[in-house]
Amino acid sequence: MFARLRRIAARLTAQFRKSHAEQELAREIQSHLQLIEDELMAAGMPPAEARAAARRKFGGVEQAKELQRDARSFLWLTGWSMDLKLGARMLIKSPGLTTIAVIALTVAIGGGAAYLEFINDYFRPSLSIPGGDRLVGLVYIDPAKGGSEARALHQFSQWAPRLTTVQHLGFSRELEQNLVTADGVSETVRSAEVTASIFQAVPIPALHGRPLLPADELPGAVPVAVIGEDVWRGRFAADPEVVGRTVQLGGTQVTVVGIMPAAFALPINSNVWTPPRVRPDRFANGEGPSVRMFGQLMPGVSVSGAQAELSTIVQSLTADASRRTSGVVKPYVESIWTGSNLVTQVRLLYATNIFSLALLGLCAANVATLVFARTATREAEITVRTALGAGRGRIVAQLVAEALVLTSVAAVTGFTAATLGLRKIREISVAAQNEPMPFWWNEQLGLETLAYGVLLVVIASLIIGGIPALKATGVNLQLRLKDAGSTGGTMRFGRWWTAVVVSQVAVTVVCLVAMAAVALAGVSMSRSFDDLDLPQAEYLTAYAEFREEVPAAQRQQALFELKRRLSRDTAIVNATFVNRVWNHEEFWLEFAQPEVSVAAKPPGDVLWVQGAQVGPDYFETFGHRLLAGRRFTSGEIESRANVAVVDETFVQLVLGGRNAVGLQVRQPPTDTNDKPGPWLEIVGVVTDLSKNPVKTTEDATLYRPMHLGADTRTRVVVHSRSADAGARLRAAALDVDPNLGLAEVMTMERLVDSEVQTFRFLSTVIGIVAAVALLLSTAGIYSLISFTLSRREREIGIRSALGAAPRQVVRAVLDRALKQVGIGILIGSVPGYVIGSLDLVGSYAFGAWTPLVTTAATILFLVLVAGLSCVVPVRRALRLQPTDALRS
Amino acid sequence: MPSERIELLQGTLDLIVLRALSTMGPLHAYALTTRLAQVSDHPLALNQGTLYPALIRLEHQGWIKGVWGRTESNREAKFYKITTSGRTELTRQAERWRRLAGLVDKLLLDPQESGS
Repeated sequence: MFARLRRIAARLTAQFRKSHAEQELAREIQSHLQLIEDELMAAGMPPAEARAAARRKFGGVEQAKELQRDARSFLWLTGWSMDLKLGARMLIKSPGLTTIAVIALTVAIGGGAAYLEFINDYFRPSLSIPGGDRLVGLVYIDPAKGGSEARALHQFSQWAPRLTTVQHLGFSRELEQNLVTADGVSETVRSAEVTASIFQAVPIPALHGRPLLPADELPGAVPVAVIGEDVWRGRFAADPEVVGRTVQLGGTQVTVVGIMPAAFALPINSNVWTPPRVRPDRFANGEGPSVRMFGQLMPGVSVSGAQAELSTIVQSLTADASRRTSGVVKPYVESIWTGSNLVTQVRLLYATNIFSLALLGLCAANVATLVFARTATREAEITVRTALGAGRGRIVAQLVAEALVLTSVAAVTGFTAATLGLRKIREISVAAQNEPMPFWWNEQLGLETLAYGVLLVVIASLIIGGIPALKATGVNLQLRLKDAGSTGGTMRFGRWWTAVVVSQVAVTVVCLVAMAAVALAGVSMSRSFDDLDLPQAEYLTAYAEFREEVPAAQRQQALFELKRRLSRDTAIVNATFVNRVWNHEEFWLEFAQPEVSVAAKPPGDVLWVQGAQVGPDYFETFGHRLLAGRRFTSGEIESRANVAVVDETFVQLVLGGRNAVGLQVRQPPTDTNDKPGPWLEIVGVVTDLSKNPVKTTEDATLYRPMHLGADTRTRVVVHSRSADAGARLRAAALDVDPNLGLAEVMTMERLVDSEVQTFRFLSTVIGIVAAVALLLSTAGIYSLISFTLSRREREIGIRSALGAAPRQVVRAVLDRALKQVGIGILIGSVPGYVIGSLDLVGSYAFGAWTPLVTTAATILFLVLVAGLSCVVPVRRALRLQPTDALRS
Repeated sequence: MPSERIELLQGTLDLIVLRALSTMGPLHAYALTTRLAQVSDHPLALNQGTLYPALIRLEHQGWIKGVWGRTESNREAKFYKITTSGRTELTRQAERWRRLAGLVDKLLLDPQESGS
């Protein structure tokens, strides 16, 4: 046993030290020859003669080397390396097949890898920061509150002193705050109130100064802040003297005590940290602000170990057994998603990977079709090799090795494409949200992803090489030997291949329609923005953000005050609030007098229109002219009166031109709300915002007064021709309330661009998949026809000789391919139509015929491409001379 | 004309090499072939090159060990030495060979002779 192991080990070592072994052998043989030569010369032979005689006596030098090589290596391994070399040579020999296969597999493998990496990066990343692997999050679950309850400071104060398996327990909450520097400039920072324990759990040293300390949390301590590297560089020009200086953060003067490097961005992507202002033990159950709880597993404790302890603690604390509250311990990033609907979605996301596997399977099967067609041209070679004693396994291994070379090349390009794709996703995401990715985001493909990629490579190689090889070697040897000399061959495109071509055509239809639908949605969205009758670069949007503890009445007051300040600024044309700046919410409506509506005819019929909740001066800000009645009064907005204003399209398409003022509408009961909304009286009619001439009832819009301050986040829109509108908005916000943060400050132009970019990226991705599907379909059809032609050359020759018309010849060649394309299109057009019918943008459609037209156009396009791929083989068939065909 | 040279039975070369190294002490490949030719009175059809696979095989098994050294004529050569496990293996293989040879011998004996 040991001897065997030792031999294997020695041989393996020899594999990796080949050149050393070769040198050793050459040296030894040389010395051997020298010794013979010496002896012969000692016997009196002249030197030249002795040298030649020595070689004769030794025997074949090269043969001896070869025998020694065999003895020191694994024959099968050498065989494999030979197969791989041959594989690489075959790739160069069939550049067409190689190109198509590599492109297709790059998309399939790269897509699968990128998808897995994306989910892993987002939801289950491995944290590369010190202590990251033991960092956990604690989540309080209260079924009465519908899942996780973030107002959990009461629970924290009870759990923290009892938990022994988790150390450095703490909590955090993130909020956008204004950082005002000595020069009076105010800019938003992503601040986090966090316990000092986070700096102990993740011991990344500060660049300058110190991190937060537990003493900073004590009542009466001097307010301090630690700033991140980007704030330090961006706002303080990397001046180390900033440590010890006082700045204004929100409404508080704080002393900067330290600067953390960019690697530290906990809890998510913060760049300023302050000690919490709250005492956890002061809050009753379910009260206080929303927080995240975190900690670090004690050395040697597993997540399940900590979970067991926490469960016991929660049980002992709950007096009322009927209230099934619980505490959950999860790895840090997972805990962020725990309790939200996202958890089930994450599982779904992982499960969705089955699609990328299916895509790979289909791509591989199609490439296998092409490989099979090529293998047919090597049938004679395979037959002869089999006859000479090569086992079926040997030939299968050779073709799989060839496929392995192909898929490995594709894997390398696929991994590169995946990394580039993930980078693009980050760019889009950062642009859309105007903030960096979470600190754990990492575009480098992880080990798990690479392993998954390798698995995909193996699966693809087995399909691409294995299936054609098994099909090619399955036929009876005798039969093949008999046919080996003729052109006919025995290999046939059986049912398996037919199914592959048909499903490929079907998938192509679906992909093309999906691509068209997404592209159209993108176009329609950017067109809907283009149609907005306003200069988008002059409009600035932002979210005004309040701390949770600020009561709604105070929030409302602050927003009105902000509006007043902005109105006083002469550089600002106007300003308002709105719940959605574009793509309004859907609004179901019914009329008190159903007969007034031309769109909703039968009694009880409800309509779907656009809805928006607007603040003071909304219509003035967006330039809607008043056509009838009046606009909202500020009293109506303050009291959130039951009034509404509609636009021109509403009047034309919903009411058939009737006078709208005085009519009453309301929201009927819905699935989620079984009570109807209050009756709203229409008090005015304004012009449309969009100048697009083609409109449906779904473009009709109904405006209601906004409940200002109901949410902690409110969208502000400022119309200004001044370049420093952003700074003016910040200054006004700071004036009103230093704690009023502003997030996602950007022009509408940029907002639109980031929205459009998302669609553009999506349609590019689907477009690439569609292009690959199309490429594979075309190549599949082409190779099927060429294959049929080459197999039936003799038959066609005879038929031509017997006087068959060219039409009949063409039919003989195309018959099967056309049938397969037809069936594929039929199968694919149903799901294609369904996907095409999905209303991706909602607010703006190209008309009811869009899905049908898209599907039909796609089919036409596919038929055209399929037709083109037939041209070359058909011309070859028509040029076939009966005499040549018969002779061959 | 039938050759008088003896073709080696498969697997016996290892035994012969082990035996030669065990009696003669460390030898280089050329000395080994010379020694084999001497003891067999020259009828052993041993192409000198065929010795190398056997040497590498035995070395991989750990039964012999090759070390570079100098010959009496001050030429460099790789000297092979039998190892302890090589000696154990030699005893085992020699025993097996004796049993096999005995059996073949018995079978080859004239039936009349053996019957009488």
